[in-house]
Amino acid sequence: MTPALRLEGVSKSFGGLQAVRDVSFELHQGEILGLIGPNGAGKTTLINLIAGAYRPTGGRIVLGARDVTGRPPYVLARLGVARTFQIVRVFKEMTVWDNVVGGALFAGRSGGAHRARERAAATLEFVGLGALAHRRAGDIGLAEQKRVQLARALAMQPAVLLLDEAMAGLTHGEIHAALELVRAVHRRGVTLIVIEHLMKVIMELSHRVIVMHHGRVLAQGRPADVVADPQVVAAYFGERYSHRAVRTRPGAGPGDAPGEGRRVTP
Amino acid sequence: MLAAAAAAVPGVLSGYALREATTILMFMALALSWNLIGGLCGYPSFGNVAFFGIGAYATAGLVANLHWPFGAALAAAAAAAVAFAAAIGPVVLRLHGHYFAIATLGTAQALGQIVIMVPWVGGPNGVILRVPFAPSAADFYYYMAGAVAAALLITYAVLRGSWGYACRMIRQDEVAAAASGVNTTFYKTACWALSGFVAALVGGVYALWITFVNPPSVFDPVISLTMVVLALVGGAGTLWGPVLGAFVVENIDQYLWARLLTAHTLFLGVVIVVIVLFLPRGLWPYLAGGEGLTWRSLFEGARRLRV
Amino acid sequence: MDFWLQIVANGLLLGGVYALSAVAFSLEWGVLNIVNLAHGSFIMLGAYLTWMLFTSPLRVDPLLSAPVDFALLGGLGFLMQRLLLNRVMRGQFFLTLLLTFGIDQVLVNTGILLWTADPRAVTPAYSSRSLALGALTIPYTRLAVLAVAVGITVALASFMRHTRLGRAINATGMDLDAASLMGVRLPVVFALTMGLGCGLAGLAGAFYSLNFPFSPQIGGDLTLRAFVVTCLGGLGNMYGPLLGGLALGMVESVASVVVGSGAVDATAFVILVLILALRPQGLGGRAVA
Repeated sequence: MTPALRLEGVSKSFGGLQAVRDVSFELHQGEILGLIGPNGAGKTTLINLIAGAYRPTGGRIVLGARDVTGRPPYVLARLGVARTFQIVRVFKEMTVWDNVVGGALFAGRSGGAHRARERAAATLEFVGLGALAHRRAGDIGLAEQKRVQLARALAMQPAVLLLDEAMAGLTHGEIHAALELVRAVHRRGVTLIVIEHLMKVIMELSHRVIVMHHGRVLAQGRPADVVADPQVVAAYFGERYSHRAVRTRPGAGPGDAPGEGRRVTP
Repeated sequence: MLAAAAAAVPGVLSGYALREATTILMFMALALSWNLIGGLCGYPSFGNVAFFGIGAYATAGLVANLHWPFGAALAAAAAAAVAFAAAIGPVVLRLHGHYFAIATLGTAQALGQIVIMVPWVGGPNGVILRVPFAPSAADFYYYMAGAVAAALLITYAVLRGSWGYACRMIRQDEVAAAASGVNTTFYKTACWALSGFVAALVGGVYALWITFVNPPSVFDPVISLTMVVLALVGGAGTLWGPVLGAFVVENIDQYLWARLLTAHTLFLGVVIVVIVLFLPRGLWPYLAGGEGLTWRSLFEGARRLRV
Repeated sequence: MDFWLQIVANGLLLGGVYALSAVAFSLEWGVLNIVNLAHGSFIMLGAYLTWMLFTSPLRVDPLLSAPVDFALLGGLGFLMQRLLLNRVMRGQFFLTLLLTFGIDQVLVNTGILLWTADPRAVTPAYSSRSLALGALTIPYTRLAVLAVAVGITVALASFMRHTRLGRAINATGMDLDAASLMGVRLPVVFALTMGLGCGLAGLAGAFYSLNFPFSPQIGGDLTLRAFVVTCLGGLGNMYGPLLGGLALGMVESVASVVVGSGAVDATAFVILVLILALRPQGLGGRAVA
């Protein structure tokens, strides 16, 4: 089966700064891929590259069977790549309803304003925002605004959904609800890439995890294996802790990665 | 009803008063022109006089030098403005905020300077228009009224349906709009071109009406700024706001002009200051929303934005 | 060769005028995020103040009235910010743009009412003297502008870096809310910044009056030039206005020879549009667009 998305040696530099270097991976159909790494590792840049917000300075991005390298964001949105933003971007002066219709109108593949409205209504119910439909999006709480973002993305009927820290800043209860929602989205057949700082969320949600560090892919594999990888520990906590981690977990030294957890040597 | 009242005006007014009414219509159409890009898309052009100037100059040049009929010249002038907008749109509409504002201001200024160097349209001397059958004062009133009607129809067509959604999304968050599948460059450029179309129509009619164009008069940056002010006074981004704004401000302006010629020149400046401080959203939302315009609401509007 | 050397020298001297005018404009823009469309009219007011003092019975020398211009127009700028602009600082950017345009209209038309639209000039005895440097002729008054432009740039840069107020101003320019949390009293710092900017514009007016004839309507062109210079030099770079000013002066000086003096203004605008389209971060400095 062709992967939902394939990155081949994708790089991005801003002036002299290399934010993403030579990143390659495949996103399988129906997968939830967790993307983790310390601040400044290049995760959001990578999302921006996949969504077309940035044009890569090297490499290729293939969506399904189509090369989409360098296509603008609206084209990718129409081809089925939807996203949410780390810092919430809702249309604040518009109602919640109009926010979601806006997503359905332009990217939804089965056209027509009437169909778009139907889809918006269904999506609002699905994410549990029906009661807030006529509120101004700028007036509702952060957790709800994050739901509006998600609903807008879902109304686009995406094949691939990119969630950039969808749970940051939420309370414990809200995180729980959001997790359930993401699972429900996944059950509908959407393939996801999820950036999240909360390890617990990533561990529970992802089928596979990619760790980025200094713009590169440091490791990828099953969540449990990846977090045990000393290189990953080192990237997060500094060298000192990585030795300790290696010592306390006998048999997990370099070259001895268990299971699917394979390190990618850059 | 409004249309019927407007149509009856030339029967009632004559001479100077009709001229004033025509001027008010002209500024209504110009304010609507600005509203298409500045109000709907949130790209505050400070150089829309460029389109007005193109319309005036192209019409004048074609009528005076090539003896085209006025209608054909006007259509060609409007097409020229649309072509110009489409050509520079993708470049200037990439800019945001102050940069967009000043780039448009600069573009209009540069155009005025360049026209001075074109001998075909008289260089610094401008063009004098003479047509065999000059339209009457009432005709010009109806021409301008036609421009207002065209601008209103265009605005209405843009506002309703998915195009209107695209504009609102662009105005509020362009990045999110693009991520939602909106071809932002297309919609922005299209609105900009429509804005140019309307302003060029008005410019062409103005040229024939005044029978003389030169760079300082039809590339005057104050015209650009006036468009911004009128639209803001009425309410940017709404259908009727610019019409209301032009009606209110131009009536006051003409009243003052007739009575206090010297102080009149200060008026636009003072109006701008007052409007920006007390009515940052314009008059229309108060009328349409039934909020009522009270002293309290005035100061409330002002308080939200201060540091 | 001598001819071109003179052209280059003229360009540098003209660039001094532009730089002096742009320093304040760039400060206001960078710190307050206000593109002050009344900027040129503050220079105009400075020029008229100088002229009034010069033509009064006291015949005050323009160099002596420069500090007076700084103080008076600085005060006016302080009040303008405190009473008017501060009220819309949290609104959309074009509210401040419009507001300064309105203020500009008031200033220009008040100027016309007070002094008529006729051009004036300030001509002390030394205004026609020049330094002969080999084949080069360098008017002293122009040289003074260049020197003052360099001096003010350096002084302002060290003021911003080494004084408490300067650092407070800098902090507000970077992050409004953070500065507010750090205990910076925003309304006052804003007003002081605008006061400083308008004071410098007034000072520039004194030197402008020594070099060029002026009328109440000179402001628009000066503001636009200041904008071009700021874009050229890059916003947020303390030495940007100086570099941008010298660059624009040079280009205009050469353009007046190559394409004719009538096309100089058009050249400036074409440069503006080109920079905005191709290199919005300016020749040096942070990205701004």
